[in-house]
Amino acid sequence: MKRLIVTCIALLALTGCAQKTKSENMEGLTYQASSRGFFLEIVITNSRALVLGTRGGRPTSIPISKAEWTYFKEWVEHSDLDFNSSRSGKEEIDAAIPATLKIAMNNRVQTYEFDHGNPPKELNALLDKMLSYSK
Amino acid sequence: MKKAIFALTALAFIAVSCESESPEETNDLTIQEVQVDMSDFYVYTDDIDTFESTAKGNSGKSCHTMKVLNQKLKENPGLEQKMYNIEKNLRTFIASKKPDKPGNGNGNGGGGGDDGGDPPVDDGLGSITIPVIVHVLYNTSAQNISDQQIASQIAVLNEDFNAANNDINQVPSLFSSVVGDIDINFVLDQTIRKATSRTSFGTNDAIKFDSQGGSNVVTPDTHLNIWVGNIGGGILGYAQFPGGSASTDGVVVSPQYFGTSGIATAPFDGGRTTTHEVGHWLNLRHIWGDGRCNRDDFVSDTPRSDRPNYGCPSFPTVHCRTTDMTMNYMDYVDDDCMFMFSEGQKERMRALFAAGGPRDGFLP
Repeated sequence: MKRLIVTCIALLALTGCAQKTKSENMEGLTYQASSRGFFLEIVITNSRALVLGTRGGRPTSIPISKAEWTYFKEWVEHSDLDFNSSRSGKEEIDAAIPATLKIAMNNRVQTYEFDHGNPPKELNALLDKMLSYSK
Repeated sequence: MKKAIFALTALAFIAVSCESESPEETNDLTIQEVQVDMSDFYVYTDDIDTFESTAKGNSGKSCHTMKVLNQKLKENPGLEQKMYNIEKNLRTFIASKKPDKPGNGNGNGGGGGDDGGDPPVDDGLGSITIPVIVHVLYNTSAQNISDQQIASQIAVLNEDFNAANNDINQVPSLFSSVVGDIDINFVLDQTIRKATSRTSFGTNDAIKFDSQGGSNVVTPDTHLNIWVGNIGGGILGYAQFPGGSASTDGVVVSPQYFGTSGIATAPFDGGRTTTHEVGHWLNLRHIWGDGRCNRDDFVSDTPRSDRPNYGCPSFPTVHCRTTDMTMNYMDYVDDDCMFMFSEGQKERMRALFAAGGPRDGFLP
């Protein structure tokens, strides 16, 4: 039995190591906050920030510099992204605007959901920078 | 190994304890004993689809729901228990009125699709009249809305809650058999006007307290309080479910989205934001259940959906393999494109007024 447990632990450790060492290039970011009276979508690519303030409207395209893109990439690639986030439940009575952040990596998409204006503290810096394009 | 067995035993014990500690019916509804299924009940919405939760295969509804519920129960156990009791009581009341089909009141338990509704139920409560207190909190003269604008909102509530709205003939035939005439009337009892230094109130209920630049609630056991003031932040209005604090009981609407005249602004100038919020105040959930396809609004005749609809959707709009009832007041479409409650929603709302229910003070 002990041998089985040790084997399992070893396998888990190896799997964990493999994930850590796998290349995780960030390819883009999408933030969306949407409710009955509000809509905001910001998409960050390696050359542009696309900002859409009206549902079904036309996005504003803002060029971003190499330095800005590097900021986003390094922030994502050097952050611990494995944490849980959740909405407050206030959207059930329309007292909060549901928001979603998606981070596209080369091998997966990480999604966080929370209230617009009240993100998890781990995402504050990233969202401040993203939302600055909508101001 | 012993530790593992101990841990599993402890978990099982906690799970069983949780179940046995589920809030029980505490009020004195004088109705026949009816078994109701509460397995699908939730208070708070889903956590999210993070990589971590997906990787762990955390897709089971009840397990996930319990996780969120348990977390929130720690934060506010009193409210959760009240909401559970209210839900159980209303399901029991509805089921008791359906002698031919005893069940859980929502007709579908924890899974599967909606079943298209049951025949209308006579709950014996008759026409219900709700006296309304309107608090007008204004920072600008425009926000000090006119009596006419307030009257226009009361008129819309009366139309919408009596299926007397002139756009109800737009309900598609697919849903025409489940249109609900709620038979609730609203009467303006008092308008309270107060100047405030606040340019916006947000959604933390400051608007409901004199001490925070708002206006204190007035007799919420017998009156619907509506606060009209600038909320800001893209919020049109918000509500409170039955079971919350009496001091904050009611709905809040920004003046630009209240009524049909004055400063009411398109596309939310049809008074339907207030209809929607009063729906919440009467225990209705959003029609998509605030979750994915497996999340219900606890109403059997509203099709399941996994998202709100916006604007003015074309018909049919299909999600979760059924046609959405986008024209329901509890969806997120524009005012001109929502024009019905369902029979199932009627049952939920009116059950609150039964003896022992959270809004029974409104009946004589």
